[in-house]
Amino acid sequence: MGLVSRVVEEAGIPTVNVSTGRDITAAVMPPRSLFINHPMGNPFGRPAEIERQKEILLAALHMVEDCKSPGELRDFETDWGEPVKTLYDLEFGFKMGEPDPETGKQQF
Amino acid sequence: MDDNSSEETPERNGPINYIDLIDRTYQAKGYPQYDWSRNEDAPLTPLRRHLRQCTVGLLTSGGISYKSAAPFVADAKNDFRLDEIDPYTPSDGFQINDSYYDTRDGEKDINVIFPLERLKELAEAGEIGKIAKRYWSGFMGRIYKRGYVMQTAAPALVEELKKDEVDILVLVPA
Repeated sequence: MGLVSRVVEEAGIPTVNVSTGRDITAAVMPPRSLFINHPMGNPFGRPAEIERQKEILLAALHMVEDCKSPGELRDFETDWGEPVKTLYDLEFGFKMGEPDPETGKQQF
Repeated sequence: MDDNSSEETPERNGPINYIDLIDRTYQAKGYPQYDWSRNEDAPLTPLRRHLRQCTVGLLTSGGISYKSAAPFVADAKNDFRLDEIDPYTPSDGFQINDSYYDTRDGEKDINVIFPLERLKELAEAGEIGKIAKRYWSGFMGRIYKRGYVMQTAAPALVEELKKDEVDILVLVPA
Protein backbone atom coordinates (compact mmCIF):
# COMPACT_ATOMS: atom_id res chain seq x y z
CA MET A 1 0.00 0.00 0.00
CA GLY A 2 2.92 2.30 0.65
CA LEU A 3 4.02 1.69 -2.92
CA VAL A 4 0.49 2.35 -4.21
CA SER A 5 0.33 5.66 -2.35
CA ARG A 6 3.64 6.71 -3.85
CA VAL A 7 2.32 6.04 -7.39
CA VAL A 8 -0.99 7.84 -6.70
CA GLU A 9 0.82 10.83 -5.18
CA GLU A 10 3.26 11.00 -8.07
CA ALA A 11 0.28 11.08 -10.45
CA GLY A 12 -0.94 14.25 -8.70
CA ILE A 13 -3.43 13.00 -6.11
CA PRO A 14 -2.48 13.69 -2.46
CA THR A 15 -2.60 10.62 -0.20
CA VAL A 16 -2.36 9.65 3.44
CA ASN A 17 -1.67 6.19 4.89
CA VAL A 18 -3.27 5.22 8.18
CA SER A 19 -0.72 2.73 9.45
CA THR A 20 -0.46 0.27 12.33
CA GLY A 21 2.97 -1.03 11.27
CA ARG A 22 5.37 1.76 12.13
CA ASP A 23 8.58 0.05 11.03
CA ILE A 24 7.15 -1.21 7.73
CA THR A 25 5.75 2.23 6.93
CA ALA A 26 9.02 3.94 7.86
CA ALA A 27 10.87 1.63 5.45
CA VAL A 28 8.49 2.02 2.49
CA MET A 29 8.08 5.76 3.12
CA PRO A 30 4.69 6.70 1.74
CA PRO A 31 4.22 10.43 1.08
CA ARG A 32 2.36 10.97 4.40
CA SER A 33 1.57 8.48 7.15
CA LEU A 34 -0.25 8.62 10.42
CA PHE A 35 0.89 5.87 12.77
CA ILE A 36 -1.73 4.45 15.11
CA ASN A 37 -0.36 2.14 17.80
CA HIS A 38 -3.27 -0.32 17.59
CA PRO A 39 -3.47 -3.94 16.42
CA MET A 40 -3.30 -4.33 12.64
CA GLY A 41 -7.05 -4.94 12.32
CA ASN A 42 -8.01 -1.86 14.35
CA PRO A 43 -6.42 1.26 12.88
CA PHE A 44 -9.50 3.35 13.75
CA GLY A 45 -10.16 1.78 17.15
CA ARG A 46 -12.67 -0.67 18.55
CA PRO A 47 -16.18 -1.55 17.32
CA ALA A 48 -18.75 1.20 18.02
CA GLU A 49 -16.07 3.70 19.14
CA ILE A 50 -17.57 6.28 16.84
CA GLU A 51 -15.77 9.31 18.26
CA ARG A 52 -12.32 7.70 18.24
CA GLN A 53 -12.86 6.36 14.71
CA LYS A 54 -13.83 9.81 13.49
CA GLU A 55 -11.01 11.55 15.33
CA ILE A 56 -8.37 9.31 13.74
CA LEU A 57 -9.85 9.70 10.26
CA LEU A 58 -9.97 13.48 10.67
CA ALA A 59 -6.38 13.58 11.98
CA ALA A 60 -5.30 11.70 8.84
CA LEU A 61 -7.17 14.16 6.61
CA HIS A 62 -5.71 17.17 8.42
CA MET A 63 -2.28 15.71 7.82
CA VAL A 64 -2.88 16.00 4.08
CA GLU A 65 -3.49 19.70 4.61
CA ASP A 66 -0.61 20.56 6.89
CA CYS A 67 2.17 18.07 6.03
CA LYS A 68 5.03 19.95 4.38
CA SER A 69 7.84 17.39 4.41
CA PRO A 70 7.70 14.44 1.96
CA GLY A 71 7.57 11.08 3.70
CA GLU A 72 6.47 12.44 7.08
CA LEU A 73 5.47 9.73 9.57
CA ARG A 74 3.38 11.27 12.34
CA ASP A 75 2.48 9.51 15.59
CA PHE A 76 -1.16 9.75 16.61
CA GLU A 77 -1.66 10.07 20.36
CA THR A 78 -3.69 7.01 21.34
CA ASP A 79 -3.90 4.40 24.06
CA TRP A 80 -5.09 0.93 23.10
CA GLY A 81 -5.47 0.15 26.79
CA GLU A 82 -3.68 -3.21 26.64
CA PRO A 83 -0.61 -4.61 24.86
CA VAL A 84 -1.04 -4.63 21.09
CA LYS A 85 -1.33 -8.23 19.88
CA THR A 86 -0.02 -9.63 16.63
CA LEU A 87 -0.61 -12.84 14.75
CA TYR A 88 3.10 -13.53 14.88
CA ASP A 89 3.98 -12.97 18.49
CA LEU A 90 3.17 -16.20 20.24
CA GLU A 91 4.27 -14.66 23.50
CA PHE A 92 0.83 -13.07 23.55
CA GLY A 93 -0.78 -16.48 23.28
CA PHE A 94 -2.38 -15.60 20.00
CA LYS A 95 -1.99 -18.50 17.59
CA MET A 96 -3.30 -19.21 14.14
CA GLY A 97 -5.03 -22.54 13.61
CA GLU A 98 -5.62 -24.37 10.38
CA PRO A 99 -7.80 -22.58 7.83
CA ASP A 100 -11.40 -23.74 7.57
CA PRO A 101 -11.37 -26.25 4.66
CA GLU A 102 -14.66 -24.93 3.27
CA THR A 103 -14.30 -21.18 3.56
CA GLY A 104 -10.49 -21.00 3.58
CA LYS A 105 -10.80 -18.61 6.54
CA GLN A 106 -8.19 -18.72 9.24
CA GLN A 107 -9.44 -20.06 12.55
CA PHE A 108 -8.36 -18.15 15.64
CA MET B 1 13.53 -1.52 39.02
CA ASP B 2 11.20 -3.55 41.20
CA ASP B 3 9.64 -6.94 40.44
CA ASN B 4 6.51 -5.49 38.85
CA SER B 5 8.28 -3.23 36.39
CA SER B 6 10.44 -6.09 35.11
CA GLU B 7 7.32 -7.98 34.05
CA GLU B 8 5.90 -5.04 32.12
CA THR B 9 8.70 -4.33 29.69
CA PRO B 10 8.50 -0.85 28.15
CA GLU B 11 8.60 -2.34 24.62
CA ARG B 12 5.14 -3.81 25.10
CA ASN B 13 3.64 -0.36 24.83
CA GLY B 14 5.86 0.80 21.98
CA PRO B 15 5.30 0.05 18.29
CA ILE B 16 5.53 -3.62 17.30
CA ASN B 17 8.59 -4.48 15.25
CA TYR B 18 6.73 -6.22 12.42
CA ILE B 19 9.67 -6.55 10.06
CA ASP B 20 11.58 -8.52 12.67
CA LEU B 21 8.56 -10.63 13.63
CA ILE B 22 7.64 -11.49 10.05
CA ASP B 23 11.25 -12.23 9.12
CA ARG B 24 11.60 -14.57 12.08
CA THR B 25 8.27 -16.29 11.39
CA TYR B 26 9.05 -16.83 7.71
CA GLN B 27 12.58 -17.98 8.33
CA ALA B 28 11.34 -20.49 10.92
CA LYS B 29 9.15 -21.96 8.16
CA GLY B 30 12.14 -22.18 5.86
CA TYR B 31 11.16 -19.32 3.53
CA PRO B 32 13.87 -17.08 2.13
CA GLN B 33 14.44 -13.60 3.57
CA TYR B 34 11.71 -11.17 2.47
CA ASP B 35 13.12 -8.24 0.56
CA TRP B 36 11.36 -5.27 2.21
CA SER B 37 10.79 -2.14 0.16
CA ARG B 38 12.97 0.68 1.44
CA ASN B 39 12.88 4.25 0.22
CA GLU B 40 14.92 7.25 1.28
CA ASP B 41 12.58 9.90 -0.06
CA ALA B 42 8.96 10.31 -1.15
CA PRO B 43 6.91 12.26 -3.68
CA LEU B 44 4.59 14.96 -2.32
CA THR B 45 1.69 16.62 -4.13
CA PRO B 46 0.38 19.67 -2.28
CA LEU B 47 -3.35 19.86 -1.65
CA ARG B 48 -4.74 22.34 -4.15
CA ARG B 49 -7.87 23.30 -2.25
CA HIS B 50 -9.19 23.45 1.27
CA LEU B 51 -10.12 20.13 2.88
CA ARG B 52 -13.70 21.35 3.14
CA GLN B 53 -13.85 21.42 -0.67
CA CYS B 54 -12.15 18.08 -1.31
CA THR B 55 -13.57 14.82 -2.63
CA VAL B 56 -12.15 12.03 -0.49
CA GLY B 57 -11.70 8.37 -1.47
CA LEU B 58 -10.77 5.27 0.53
CA LEU B 59 -8.63 2.24 -0.32
CA THR B 60 -8.34 -0.76 1.99
CA SER B 61 -6.02 -3.75 1.65
CA GLY B 62 -7.87 -5.63 4.38
CA GLY B 63 -9.48 -8.35 2.24
CA ILE B 64 -12.90 -6.65 2.44
CA SER B 65 -15.63 -7.54 -0.05
CA TYR B 66 -19.41 -7.39 -0.30
CA LYS B 67 -21.17 -10.26 1.44
CA SER B 68 -22.81 -10.91 -1.90
CA ALA B 69 -19.46 -11.09 -3.73
CA ALA B 70 -16.77 -13.77 -3.76
CA PRO B 71 -14.54 -13.69 -0.68
CA PHE B 72 -10.95 -12.59 -1.05
CA VAL B 73 -8.47 -15.47 -0.80
CA ALA B 74 -7.45 -15.19 2.85
CA ASP B 75 -3.80 -16.18 2.44
CA ALA B 76 -3.38 -14.68 -1.02
CA LYS B 77 -0.05 -13.99 -2.65
CA ASN B 78 0.16 -11.65 -5.64
CA ASP B 79 -3.62 -11.21 -5.82
CA PHE B 80 -4.34 -8.11 -7.91
CA ARG B 81 -8.10 -8.25 -7.54
CA LEU B 82 -9.41 -4.72 -6.95
CA ASP B 83 -13.08 -4.29 -6.01
CA GLU B 84 -15.08 -1.11 -6.45
CA ILE B 85 -17.04 -0.37 -3.29
CA ASP B 86 -20.21 1.70 -3.20
CA PRO B 87 -19.68 4.15 -0.28
CA TYR B 88 -23.37 3.84 0.60
CA THR B 89 -23.16 0.09 1.24
CA PRO B 90 -24.67 -0.66 4.68
CA SER B 91 -21.87 -1.30 7.18
CA ASP B 92 -23.10 -4.86 7.77
CA GLY B 93 -22.87 -5.63 4.07
CA PHE B 94 -19.23 -6.75 4.09
CA GLN B 95 -17.17 -9.86 4.73
CA ILE B 96 -13.47 -9.92 5.58
CA ASN B 97 -11.13 -12.68 4.47
CA ASP B 98 -7.50 -12.11 5.37
CA SER B 99 -5.19 -14.46 7.27
CA TYR B 100 -2.61 -11.78 7.99
CA TYR B 101 -4.41 -9.94 10.78
CA ASP B 102 -7.16 -10.42 13.38
CA THR B 103 -10.37 -9.59 11.50
CA ARG B 104 -12.84 -10.19 14.35
CA ASP B 105 -13.42 -6.55 15.32
CA GLY B 106 -13.75 -5.55 11.68
CA GLU B 107 -16.42 -8.20 11.27
CA LYS B 108 -18.37 -6.59 14.14
CA ASP B 109 -17.89 -3.05 12.90
CA ILE B 110 -16.34 -2.49 9.49
CA ASN B 111 -15.50 1.11 10.48
CA VAL B 112 -12.56 -0.02 12.66
CA ILE B 113 -10.67 -0.77 9.45
CA PHE B 114 -12.72 0.74 6.61
CA PRO B 115 -14.40 3.85 8.08
CA LEU B 116 -17.03 4.47 5.43
CA GLU B 117 -19.71 5.64 7.88
CA ARG B 118 -17.27 8.02 9.59
CA LEU B 119 -16.23 9.56 6.27
CA LYS B 120 -19.89 10.04 5.37
CA GLU B 121 -20.43 11.83 8.69
CA LEU B 122 -17.40 14.08 8.10
CA ALA B 123 -18.92 15.05 4.76
CA GLU B 124 -22.30 15.76 6.38
CA ALA B 125 -20.56 17.89 9.03
CA GLY B 126 -18.78 19.86 6.30
CA GLU B 127 -15.28 18.76 7.38
CA ILE B 128 -14.67 17.48 3.84
CA GLY B 129 -16.31 18.49 0.57
CA LYS B 130 -17.77 15.14 -0.34
CA ILE B 131 -17.10 11.43 -0.40
CA ALA B 132 -15.88 9.85 -3.62
CA LYS B 133 -18.26 8.07 -5.95
CA ARG B 134 -16.39 4.79 -5.45
CA TYR B 135 -14.09 3.37 -2.76
CA TRP B 136 -11.63 0.53 -3.37
CA SER B 137 -10.60 -2.78 -1.83
CA GLY B 138 -7.52 -4.62 -3.09
CA PHE B 139 -3.74 -5.10 -2.86
CA MET B 140 -4.40 -7.49 0.05
CA GLY B 141 -2.37 -10.48 1.20
CA ARG B 142 1.29 -10.65 0.36
CA ILE B 143 2.40 -8.98 -2.85
CA TYR B 144 5.83 -9.76 -4.18
CA LYS B 145 5.51 -8.35 -7.71
CA ARG B 146 6.49 -4.80 -6.92
CA GLY B 147 7.16 -3.87 -10.53
CA TYR B 148 3.61 -4.87 -11.47
CA VAL B 149 2.19 -2.74 -8.63
CA MET B 150 4.23 0.32 -9.61
CA GLN B 151 3.89 0.06 -13.39
CA THR B 152 0.46 -1.49 -13.94
CA ALA B 153 -1.88 -2.02 -10.98
CA ALA B 154 -1.46 1.30 -9.17
CA PRO B 155 -1.50 3.39 -12.39
CA ALA B 156 -4.77 1.63 -13.36
CA LEU B 157 -6.25 2.71 -10.02
CA VAL B 158 -5.03 6.28 -10.62
CA GLU B 159 -7.06 6.38 -13.86
CA GLU B 160 -10.22 5.42 -11.95
CA LEU B 161 -9.53 7.98 -9.20
CA LYS B 162 -9.14 10.66 -11.85
CA LYS B 163 -12.47 9.69 -13.45
CA ASP B 164 -14.10 10.25 -10.04
CA GLU B 165 -12.18 13.52 -9.51
CA VAL B 166 -10.77 12.33 -6.20
CA ASP B 167 -8.73 15.04 -4.42
CA ILE B 168 -7.45 12.93 -1.50
CA LEU B 169 -7.01 9.16 -1.19
CA VAL B 170 -6.89 7.67 2.31
CA LEU B 171 -5.10 4.32 2.25
CA VAL B 172 -5.59 1.84 5.06
CA PRO B 173 -3.05 -0.97 4.88
CA ALA B 174 -3.70 -4.21 6.80
